[in-house]
Amino acid sequence: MAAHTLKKSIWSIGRIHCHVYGVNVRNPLNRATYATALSTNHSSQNKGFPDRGNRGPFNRRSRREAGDPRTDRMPVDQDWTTVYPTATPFRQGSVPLPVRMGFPVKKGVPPEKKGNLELIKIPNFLHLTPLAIKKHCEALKPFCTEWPSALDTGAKCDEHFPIKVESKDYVSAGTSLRNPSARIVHLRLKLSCLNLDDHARKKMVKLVGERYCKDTDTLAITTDGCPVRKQNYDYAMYLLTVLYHESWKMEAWESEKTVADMEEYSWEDSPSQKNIMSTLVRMQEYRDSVTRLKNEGESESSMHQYRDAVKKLLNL
Amino acid sequence: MRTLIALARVGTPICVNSGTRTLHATAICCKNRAARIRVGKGDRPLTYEQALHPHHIGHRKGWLSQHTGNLQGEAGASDRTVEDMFVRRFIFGTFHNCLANEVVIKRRGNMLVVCALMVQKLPPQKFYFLIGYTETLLSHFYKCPVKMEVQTLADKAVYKYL
Repeated sequence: MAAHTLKKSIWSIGRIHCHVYGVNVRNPLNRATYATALSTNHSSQNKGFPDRGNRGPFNRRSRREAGDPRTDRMPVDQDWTTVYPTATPFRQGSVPLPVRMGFPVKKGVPPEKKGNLELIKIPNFLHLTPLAIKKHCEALKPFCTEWPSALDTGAKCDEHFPIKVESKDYVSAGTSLRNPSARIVHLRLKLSCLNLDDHARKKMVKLVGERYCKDTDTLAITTDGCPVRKQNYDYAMYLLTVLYHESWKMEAWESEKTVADMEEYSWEDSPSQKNIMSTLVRMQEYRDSVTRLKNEGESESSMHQYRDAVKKLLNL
Repeated sequence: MRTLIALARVGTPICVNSGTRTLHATAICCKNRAARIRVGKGDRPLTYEQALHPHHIGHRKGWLSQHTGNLQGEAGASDRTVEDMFVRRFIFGTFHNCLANEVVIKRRGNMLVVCALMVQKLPPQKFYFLIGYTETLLSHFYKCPVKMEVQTLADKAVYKYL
């Protein structure tokens, strides 16, 4: 009786922790074990716990039944972008497809999508249907500007923007978005677009050494000495400026440039030219001796003269 | 385990009066026991994860955790692994006896997405509280946004019985 009235009060008052002494609730199904002849209407889930009314470890009575999955209420022409607006793992209650994934058991089929971890593991592109991408593009259009129509060929781009700066950005999955390789800066330009005369050009090529490629006439400077990309970019521009100004300057010791320092072979003042010139000078004697030989015929003295002339010519 | 097998086969002492005592042992049984549940009576339900052995990863099983740390030239693989292990143990302990299967961890940029399949053991309010608690605590711990994607089932999905 006490238990019965208490139970009624619980329904009206709410959750009150009541510990009823003296009522044996060990055997919930066998109500006849009670001393009193009450028709105890306890819920059948009192699993040996003291009577806590309807709270219990997990009260089935007030437990909501799991609702239908969303797939049951999906019309055929729905807007899929609302179901999967962003990248989300696979949700079997939101995807109305009878997908199966996994290795089948013997004489069986791949496991269904309900409770399938394999479908959750893989990345899915349900949020990237063509319609969704179109919507993204429409949303991004106001922030975009047209490419300038005057720069329609590569040559024009090179002409107006001769210096090309390249650097890489890195995206990775992790708690930190710093990547030390992102500080490297590459600077490329063609030497023909710089105002250099012959001496300046040769000096510039000598100064940069390996960074100049002769075939493409490209100077490539790579800087990675500083920790920040901006610093590396500034340093690369500084290097370019310094190289340009230095190559125009003429130092005093540059006049001591020897033949071994020359980049290319020049015919003037070369040993080959000197040799030929001296040979041509010695040709005079040879000419005289040959004309005498031909005019007077072969005689002892003319042959001697010819022999001496040839010896002198060939420096023997 | 292997020494137990070896010791179990100790024979009786050869001769009592020779004064020598010898140990008779068999060769070590080099069986691979990693992540394998052995065949039993046939009443033990297994999920797909438990039923397939580790050498099936990449062939019949996917990866439970995905990040860029293991790619060529990328750093931070060890940090991600340690984070993964911590998150798995944390979830296992927070949702006591509710996990239906292993936890899947995905990383998008610096966001950590923890996908878990749960059994409907707790009332939804408790689930929501635990999810919020996990998200907040892990976000503060790892200084990155942590999101939980929880799906609930009535009971575990059984793949086969061993």
